[in-house]
Amino acid sequence: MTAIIHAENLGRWYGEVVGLGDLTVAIEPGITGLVGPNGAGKSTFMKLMVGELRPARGRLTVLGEVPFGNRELHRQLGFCPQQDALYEHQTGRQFVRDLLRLGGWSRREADTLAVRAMERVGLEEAMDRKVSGYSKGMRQRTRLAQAIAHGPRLVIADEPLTGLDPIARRQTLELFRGLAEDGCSVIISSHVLHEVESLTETMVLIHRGRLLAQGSVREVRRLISRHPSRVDLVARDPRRLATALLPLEHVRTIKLGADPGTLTVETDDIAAFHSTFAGVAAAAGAGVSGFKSDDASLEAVFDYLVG
Amino acid sequence: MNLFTALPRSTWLIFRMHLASTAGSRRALGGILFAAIAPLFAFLALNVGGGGDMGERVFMFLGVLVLLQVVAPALGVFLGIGAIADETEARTITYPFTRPIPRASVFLGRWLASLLVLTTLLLASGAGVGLITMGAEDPPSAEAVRALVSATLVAGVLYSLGAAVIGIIFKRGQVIALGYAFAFEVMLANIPGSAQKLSLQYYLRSLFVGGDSAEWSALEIFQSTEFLEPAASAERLLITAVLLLAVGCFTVTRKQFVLSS
Repeated sequence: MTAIIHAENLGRWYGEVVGLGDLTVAIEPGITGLVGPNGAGKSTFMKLMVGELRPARGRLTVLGEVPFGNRELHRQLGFCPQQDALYEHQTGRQFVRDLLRLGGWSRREADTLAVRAMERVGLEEAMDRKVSGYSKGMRQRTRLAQAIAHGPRLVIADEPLTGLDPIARRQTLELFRGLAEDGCSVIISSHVLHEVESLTETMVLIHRGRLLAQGSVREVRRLISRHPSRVDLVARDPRRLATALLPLEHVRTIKLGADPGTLTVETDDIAAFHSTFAGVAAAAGAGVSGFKSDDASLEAVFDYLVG
Repeated sequence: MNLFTALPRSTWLIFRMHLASTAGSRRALGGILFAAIAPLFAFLALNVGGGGDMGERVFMFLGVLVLLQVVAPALGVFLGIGAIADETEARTITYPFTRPIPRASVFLGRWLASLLVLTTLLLASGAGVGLITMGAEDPPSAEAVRALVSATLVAGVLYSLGAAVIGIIFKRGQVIALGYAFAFEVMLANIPGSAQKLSLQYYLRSLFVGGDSAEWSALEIFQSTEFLEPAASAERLLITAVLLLAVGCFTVTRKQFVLSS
């Protein structure tokens, strides 16, 4: 599969502040989650992808093109920026329509597409009101509407779930899934990790401007096999269970919890732990009543990765 | 769509998008008050200050020292500076810059929207001064009033364009543009000698009073000034405007605007 984004030793500084250090990554078509803590370089990477900024070093292509000032590429891109900024004197419909007009659409076509986009983000009833009177969530959805209205090949959304209520979040996630089903690639950044996880298996994790890991959550887990997986257990006799588990080769540490009957096991091989645990626990007769593995949770992977 | 067809189309669309908001902006509303200063001074000078028999002198004084030297530069700076700076400050510049349009059209469209508002204000101000002083004894000629209005409008074009370009290049563009218009320019334009020719004011005054003006010499206190013929002055001002336009278009095309999230 051909990568839609190809970054090689990409770097961007703001004066002496490093926005993006040295990022080398290839992103395939589909939905991709761009994940990292605040200041990791997610927004900088997105601004480079949409051509708002130029790299200070390295090379970046988006859909095979260099993005900065590339009008042909901008025809195929939709960008939902993070900043809560709209043209306050306009209605939501005018805002989306006028931006479509800049893309070459006639007034009538632009209006039809604007209405369709506003309906798609659930703002059909509010679209003729001034955006200055919109709630934060409505403003977020308006930004999203302008990003998808022209049917782009690639939508890049910077923290698109911020400010949305739970229902709007679900609708927005559905919208992204719908776009992907229509053949549009989507790259979203988010701090709401479990929602990214629920949207896509494909992750790009960046930290301090560098690629930390890439792939599905499980692949990322494999990449970081030096970091242990954690399993929380509840047992009638946690000490006896700990004694039985400790000799296992893949068990790294065992900690007794503050709550009675709880213990946490760290293992280097979660698959081996899963296959051997039942037998060992039964033989120990420790009365296991709870088992929780956060192996596939992005939060856990991320916590391990960034320490 | 190639650059030469895309540029006028997108400039027109940007102009239309922003005309209403520019006309209703606080800058424009403040500009109305500022534009009223010169006609108000003319009225007071002729009717309250006892200058009712000095229509031409009041006209010349207000034309050169108030309209050309204060009102036009101030309005030009206040309205021109916002062309790109307002978009950057509001963090909305991302939208037009991620559309398939030449970046220069954002600068041109927004500047033209400001210019239309500005010329309306300056036209009203210049015509107001002319009409009020023409009603007094010893009035200015209709030709002089036309020359003043023309020079004021040209001043508006140049100062607003200069301010718009400064607004692209510098973060605190308004301070720099005001500093240029009211410190650097005023000093250059009013010190004796050929240094005056480095100021826009010299060429604007040339456009207004012409190459050989008896009216201007009545205002001279310290020294006499040799002005250019209006046509020669207009030529130099046109070259300056074209250069500023080119610098503005080039800079906005190349510059990266770093916005806070």
